[in-house]
Amino acid sequence: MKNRLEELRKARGLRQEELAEALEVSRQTIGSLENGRYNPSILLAFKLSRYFGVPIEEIFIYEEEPS
Amino acid sequence: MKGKKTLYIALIVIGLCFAAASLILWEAIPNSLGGVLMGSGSGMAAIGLTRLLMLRLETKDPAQARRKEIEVNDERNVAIRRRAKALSGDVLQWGVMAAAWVSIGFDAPFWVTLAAIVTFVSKSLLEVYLVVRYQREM
Repeated sequence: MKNRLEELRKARGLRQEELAEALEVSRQTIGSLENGRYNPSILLAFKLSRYFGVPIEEIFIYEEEPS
Repeated sequence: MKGKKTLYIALIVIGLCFAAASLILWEAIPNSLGGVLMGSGSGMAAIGLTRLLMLRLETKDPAQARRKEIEVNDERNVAIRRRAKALSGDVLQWGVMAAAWVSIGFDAPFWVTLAAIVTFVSKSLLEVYLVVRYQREM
């Protein structure tokens, strides 16, 4: 799943470490989320949404796979 | 914090007592019991000492302790650990089954083959039980 996490973080001038600390996750988790290697739990998605003040669907872009 | 410290100190003391008992009583007790006492005693003492040192480091540097706590509870790290445990459990289970076949091939004592099969079956049953339990819970 694609996301705009890196864009949102950089727009606020945050380092991965700072975002990780604010959300109480590891820096590696932020890195993996940004790279699209890891999809967060719904709880973390809500935390991110509240932190950035944008709806979840504006952070995570769900694209259905063509059948 | 204090409770943990007491627990770790108790672990060290009990471990050292076990190890000392195995050395003092080595002529009076069977070798196997001596081995168990020494093994479990030194293990307990080592775990207690390691935890005590970690606790001391955490007390000295609360920021480091907080980072460690975040690392441990981090949802991605938890998911990675669970996946690794599940896969290693599966690999081990089939390794045990392979060992059972090899033991038959090498004419090993019957109990060796039986123990391997019991381990394999027990793991399979536990897995089914947990699947059913988690299906009810989730």
